[in-house]
Amino acid sequence: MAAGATIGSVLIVGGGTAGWMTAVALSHKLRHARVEVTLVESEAIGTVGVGEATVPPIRAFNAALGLDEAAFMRPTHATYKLGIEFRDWARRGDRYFHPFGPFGEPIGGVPFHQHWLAAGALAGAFDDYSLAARMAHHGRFAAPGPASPYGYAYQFDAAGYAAYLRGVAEARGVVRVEGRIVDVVRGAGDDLAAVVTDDGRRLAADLFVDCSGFRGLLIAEALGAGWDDWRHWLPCDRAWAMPTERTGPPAPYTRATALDAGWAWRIPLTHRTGNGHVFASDFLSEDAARDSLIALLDAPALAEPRLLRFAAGKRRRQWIGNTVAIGLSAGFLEPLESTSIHLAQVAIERLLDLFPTGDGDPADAAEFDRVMANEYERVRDLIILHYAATERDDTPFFRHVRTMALPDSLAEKLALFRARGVVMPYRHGLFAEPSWLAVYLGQRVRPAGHDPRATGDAAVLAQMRAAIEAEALGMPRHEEVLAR
Amino acid sequence: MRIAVAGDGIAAHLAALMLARVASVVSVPVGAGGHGLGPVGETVLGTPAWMEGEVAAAIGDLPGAVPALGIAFAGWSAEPWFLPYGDVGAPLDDVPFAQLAARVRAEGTPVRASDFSLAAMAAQAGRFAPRSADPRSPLSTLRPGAIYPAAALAGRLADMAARAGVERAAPLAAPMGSDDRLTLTNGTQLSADLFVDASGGAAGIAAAGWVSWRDWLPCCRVASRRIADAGGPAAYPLHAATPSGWQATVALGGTRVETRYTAAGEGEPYENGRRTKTWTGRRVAIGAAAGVIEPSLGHALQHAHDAVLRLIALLPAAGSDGGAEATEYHRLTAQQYDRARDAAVALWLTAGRPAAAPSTELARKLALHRRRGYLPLEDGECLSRDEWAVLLDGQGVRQERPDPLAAALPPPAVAAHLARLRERLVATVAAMPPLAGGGR
Ligand SMILES: Cc1cc2nc3c(=O)[nH]c(=O)nc-3n(C[C@H](O)[C@H](O)[C@H](O)COP(=O)(O)OP(=O)(O)OC[C@H]3O[C@@H](n4cnc5c(N)ncnc54)[C@H](O)[C@@H]3O)c2cc1C
Repeated sequence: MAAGATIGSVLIVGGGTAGWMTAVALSHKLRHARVEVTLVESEAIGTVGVGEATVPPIRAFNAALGLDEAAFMRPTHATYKLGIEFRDWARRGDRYFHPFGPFGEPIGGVPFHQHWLAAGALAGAFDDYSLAARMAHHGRFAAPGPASPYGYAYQFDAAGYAAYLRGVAEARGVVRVEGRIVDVVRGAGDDLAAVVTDDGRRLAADLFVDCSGFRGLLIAEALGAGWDDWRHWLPCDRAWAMPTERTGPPAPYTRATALDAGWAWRIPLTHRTGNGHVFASDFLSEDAARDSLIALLDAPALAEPRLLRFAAGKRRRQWIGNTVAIGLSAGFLEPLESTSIHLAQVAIERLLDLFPTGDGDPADAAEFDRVMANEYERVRDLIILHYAATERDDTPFFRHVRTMALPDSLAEKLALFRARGVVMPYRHGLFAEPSWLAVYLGQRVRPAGHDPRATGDAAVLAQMRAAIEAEALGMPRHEEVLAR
Repeated sequence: MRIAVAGDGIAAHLAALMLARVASVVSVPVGAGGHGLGPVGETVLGTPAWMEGEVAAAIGDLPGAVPALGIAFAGWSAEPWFLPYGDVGAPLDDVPFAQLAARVRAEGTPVRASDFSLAAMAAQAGRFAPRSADPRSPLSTLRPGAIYPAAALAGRLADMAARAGVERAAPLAAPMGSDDRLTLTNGTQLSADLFVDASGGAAGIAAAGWVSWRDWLPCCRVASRRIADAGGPAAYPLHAATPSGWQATVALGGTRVETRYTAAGEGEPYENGRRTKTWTGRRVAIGAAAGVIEPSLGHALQHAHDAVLRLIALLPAAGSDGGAEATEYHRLTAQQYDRARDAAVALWLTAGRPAAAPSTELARKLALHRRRGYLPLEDGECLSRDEWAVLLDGQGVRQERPDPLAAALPPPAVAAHLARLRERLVATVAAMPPLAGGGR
């Protein structure tokens, strides 16, 4: 495009969660600009159909786009999520909770976890100091106030969320086109001019957002973005997914149980439970993985098991010319920490920060790639930590992951925590100190030393624990809040 | 744990005071003079972040100190400008104020950031009020700092340190050698678990190499003097560019302090730069012993304070060799200095003064800002996005294109937003009391 021109049209390729999130966000944020937003998707190809557990920043995303919580929760059969329970990760029989909120409070200016470390066995479980973890344990939920020491996210039906977003986007003027893209027309340089559907329509645009899923129709197939391969750190590459009937009241948290060559998820919704088994095909056959999932189910299945194939990594370049990749087309990290939809959200936010000025400066793309690489790598490191810091050596898979070489960025974080129980701070990235503490300590990483100021006063800790327990028990039950 | 803190001025007393809460501290005079903060002159600026710390609160009212609403800059660009301690404007539909201003300006209406900042307006009007905790009050947009007479601040911190139980040793006889002990003038040797160099390096505790930043920031002499002045105080220092450097002028009421920074001239020598290691073995550097950045943006005190907080958070665990703690301390300290240096370099460079090519981080920031007003923030950054925007805007750096989201906002909505903001601020300033002693 010519210098000084502005973007007049955006074509979003793909109508999965990422595509419709992008559509809602662009139609809202560009509502004053004369920008036509069109989304093309193919019902014949369909969407990935999973992606049901989220993290708290999704609330800010929804709020910024004027989406009403009640209006969105009902059609998506959503439940509240206070964190993730990890079972059997450091050792078989272990349980810990990664809550959306901090543990305890500083005492005498010394971080709480240092006191907990100083107190040793007297202090009880680290989770006992997290209000969110105790609420989850007791099946409680209440909306937090501005000063509450916890946040929350949602668990929802993936297809329902995309459908809900589609309704909003269409009401805000996004045009949906049904069609399978069979060709891509190049423009000048790295730019794309148009895509062509199977019935011969030519869809031109100034900006293309590739939300086409794993294949990366534009960013990879047409533009050859390159791939940062992370399979040597995250060998899981398959998942079986299978919904079951709802059993009791839905839990306000997701569960991730380590198995022999991967792990199983359990995501409770109001009308059913989502289940899945994420595994490494180098260590377990597809058939055996399916059987082990079925053996875990505690309720009648609602559908046949479905197999998904993927690889851990990200596109080396996520923005090339006038094409930006968002969602699975940009990269993938296994859903252990429910981060994929979040990474799509961050990409949308950064795209809006750097929304093209029309003359397609590569500096915008370079900056987008830089900040997204940072986001992906920091999430990746926390996910790897679950595997790297395990004591399990009961299967070939766990023997492999506990001894693999780590990325430098994680090795230095882990070394500091091992020495002194300190979490490396950073400005940009989803997971802050409480998340790192939850996983380090939950995975039984015990620092060699703690803050010399920490007293670990058992009486003070007991009081804190009791107050948290009482507060959790004073809250309404999750299912009561959902019924309102 | 026993910690020896070497130095004579603000940095040493501050470190001793803060460390006394967590260790047994002995303070060792070095006799090198200065405040261990680099070339600050006779006054020291407390930034808003410093003011939010416990020490600033405990200091309370210091005789001779003046509240600070920001820093005035003159001669660095075509127009003088003001870096306010507080908000500048307010976003509209999530579009940052700086982008709104750039857009309106591109349409031909001049907009000055300082006309939309309560701190800047109050400073200009010679008025002052403390920050309000009520978010609905425009006074909640203020984040005042403080200007301290350096000697008075050092004295107050020394008293507070003594009351906190800091022991005072005999002066240091000679710079520390390779052994982990200090030799004192009374002939004794002082051992400790940690030795903190808060002397600007004269104590010889911090002995790692020094990266010079002279190619970026060439000033290397500082001369500060007090001048009797009948005028009242001003709630801001004036940092004026001069042909061979710059000069800070502070009106304390009754006296004026002028501190000149020059590349070749009279005064105490200094060199902008930092150590290649700020903690080795038992030896920790804070303040100017760790790094020196002339205070054109006024962060010297805050850096020393943050370094001590960092040290406290990383005090070696029992039985630890301190290796992991030292590595992390240095990583964070170096990061903070490097980013603050970039801010000082940005000021220098955008004034059209000769300087070496900026760091990767600064080059990226300047390029993205120039193109479209986008300001990426790095780890360890001391300026906020708004402060960066004010600095570059004040320096006359104009973005080449308006942000597309800002450009799309309906003109009447933007105009009404700016008018509303301005009206509220004008009314608020008018109701603020004059700064005690009258404005400049
Ligand atoms: C096993 C598994 C579990 C997961 N769990 C979670 C979780 O708990 N939390 C979380 O945040 N994320 C999770 N994810 C990730 C999450 O599912 C995705 O991030 C999310 O659904 C977004 O997907 P998408 O929209 O990028 O891609 P898709 O849903 O694959 O959508 C791609 C779209 O592109 C269209 N398309 C493709 N090719 C063409 C073509 N040629 N022509 C026209 N249209 C085309 C398709 O029709 C479809 O509309 C999980 C992923 C997997 C694999």
